[in-house]
Amino acid sequence: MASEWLGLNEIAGSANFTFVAFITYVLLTVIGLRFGLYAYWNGRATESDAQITLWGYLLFIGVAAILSGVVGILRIVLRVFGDVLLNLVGGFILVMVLCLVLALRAVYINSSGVSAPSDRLLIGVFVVAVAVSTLGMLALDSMRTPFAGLQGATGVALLAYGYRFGSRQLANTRVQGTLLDTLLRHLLPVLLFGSMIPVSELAVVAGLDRAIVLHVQIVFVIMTATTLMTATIKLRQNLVGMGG
Amino acid sequence: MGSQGVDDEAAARERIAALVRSPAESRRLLPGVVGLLEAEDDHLRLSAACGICLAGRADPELLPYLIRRLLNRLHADSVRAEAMFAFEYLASQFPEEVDEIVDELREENDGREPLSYARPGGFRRSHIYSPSSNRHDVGRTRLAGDRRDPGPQQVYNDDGEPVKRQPGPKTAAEEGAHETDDDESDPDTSADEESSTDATDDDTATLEAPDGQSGGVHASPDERPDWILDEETLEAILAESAFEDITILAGHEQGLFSENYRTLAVARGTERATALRLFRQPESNTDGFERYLSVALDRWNRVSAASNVISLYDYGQRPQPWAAVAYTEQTLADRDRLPIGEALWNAITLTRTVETLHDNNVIHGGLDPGSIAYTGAIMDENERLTPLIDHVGLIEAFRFHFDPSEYLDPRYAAPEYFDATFGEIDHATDIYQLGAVLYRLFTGEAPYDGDDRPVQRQILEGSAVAPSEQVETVPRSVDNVISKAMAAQKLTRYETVAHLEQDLLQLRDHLVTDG
Repeated sequence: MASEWLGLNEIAGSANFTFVAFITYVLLTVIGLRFGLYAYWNGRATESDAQITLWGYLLFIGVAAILSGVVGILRIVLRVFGDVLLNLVGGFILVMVLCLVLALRAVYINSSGVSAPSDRLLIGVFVVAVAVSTLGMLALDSMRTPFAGLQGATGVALLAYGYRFGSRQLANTRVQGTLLDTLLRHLLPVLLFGSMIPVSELAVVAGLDRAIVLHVQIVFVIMTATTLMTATIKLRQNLVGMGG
Repeated sequence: MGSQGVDDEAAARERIAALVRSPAESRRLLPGVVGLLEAEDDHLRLSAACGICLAGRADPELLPYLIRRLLNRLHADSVRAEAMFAFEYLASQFPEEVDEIVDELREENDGREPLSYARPGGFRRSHIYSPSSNRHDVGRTRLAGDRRDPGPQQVYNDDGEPVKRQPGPKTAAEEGAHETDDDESDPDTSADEESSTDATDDDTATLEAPDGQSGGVHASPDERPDWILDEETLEAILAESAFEDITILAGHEQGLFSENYRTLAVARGTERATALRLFRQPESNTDGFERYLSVALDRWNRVSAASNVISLYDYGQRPQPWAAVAYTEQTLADRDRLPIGEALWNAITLTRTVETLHDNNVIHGGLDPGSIAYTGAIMDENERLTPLIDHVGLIEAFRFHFDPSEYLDPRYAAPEYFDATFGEIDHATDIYQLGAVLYRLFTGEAPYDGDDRPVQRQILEGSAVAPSEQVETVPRSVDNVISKAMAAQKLTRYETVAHLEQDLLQLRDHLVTDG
């Protein structure tokens, strides 16, 4: 039974690409785990509500990264399911990007001393778009193109919205030079490369071969994992300062 | 010596030369020249003293100013022989005038004597300038444990003669036999002097009273007032130190972490104005405390040579933990609010110094106005006093053995001192407390005020009044810098002191641009 389920399941029929993808997903899983743990420990070490919210979002980023990595590994080591699991990987990556945007938004609200922007509806739209695009591709893999388009568009919107908060933060003199400032500077590349993974789906909509898009996406996953690793350093630094 | 130091010295010499060339026409140079009496360089001090003598002789109208300035330097804990020399010269040339000035000062001080040092040869009407026998504050010690060996480290009397030692406390009769027989003193002074004893045969180190009153005190060990540093302690310190001589110049004063004595220490033939600090010790676990303190002093020693850190000349553990550091006259706590430009200059200087500490992996941990010292030695009255960071890292040793609030002004303490959830005491703590010190520099006030509990609550909430609201003349841009430095959460605090320095430099540029 197990032998029927387990076994090498090449992606795009390429052993080389599959090997690179396997390493990448393992990397993402490990780094996501580390990032999530440090976010959790930071959240546990502080009693500031604002910080607890931030660390909460960062914890979700770690969890989403772990899930992306694990599902990616499962795609390679399970003979069943096939590329549907890659759609799930894309969905978790999109969730990770959404959490990142929410983290940047939380930092902006707290450090600027402004009231929460009236963007609940927009946030709701993002959540729905992430859910619909992911579930759509999972349920209707044969009709994935429109959902891939939705996923790509959601990626673009999240990138733009998150970058808006991030750039405002970096221009905020109350943040410049602080540990928060450098944490944000480390998270923005994660946002950029992470959102480029779903954005790449737009190339499929434009008619590019999916195998090529998968190659591009795996490069962005590697970039996301490495930028997440450097961001983890800042989380660790803060935790040390907190006595953790 | 840096180029700035060379320039300063050249300018000082030029100032003195101008005063010597035309003493009557160089009044404007006098404040700066008088200030040079505190210069480190012996030659400069002596030149300044000569210039002052010439100026006073050329224009007696300058005497009130000169005598008052000189008395300030000779009062209580003053040390410089050059200042004594200048004063003695003017007093010998203008005894009536100087006496009148001293009388005026006495009246201004509600009868308190304006000078407590002893002047050989007597002085008209004024008993305060009594002969040298009153200078019991001056006592040099020799190497401990070898009383028979005169050696290079020797206890001297005021006349420079080695002290004849007699073991054990003296009887009152013996002490009486050694009382001062001062033929040269003014008869009016004899009453005071009878109460004091000749240091020549004195078996105890004697010191000047801490309140600056005239006359040394002689006491047997049993009778010795508690502010006196006993001879055995001083000898043991000298034996452990690298100094050839240590001369106690003034009685103790309560320091933040220690009992402090103003001293003149000689190392390799060079005299240094030092403060000898005898650290307080806990009642229990003194070994543990000494280990902590030793580590802290080692760290301080590592950065002692850095600019704007108080020099730690020597330190040791026996007979009790002690340190000899550069002598300073005042702290930021003694000063009023500084003008914006000077406050900013102080802020940048202190920030750079803390950056140097951190570069050397040294955390101060206890920055507050009491740990920012000033030497008080400036070339010109228009010059700024340079801030020096004191007590480097000592709080780390003390906070585990004493109540930290006794050693750190709670109003300047970082939140992590009150609540562990704010993190550990680390470099970010220095950044917070440096921010609080900057607040004090710009506003003249502590960021928080009140009783302990309310202050603690305010610190944890980070609810300090903005400096620009506290003082109208403080630019609003200062608020931003200080609020970031004093952020309660480390996450929103300056990550490094370098970032704080960068913002202060930008602030300076803005202020210069805005005029």
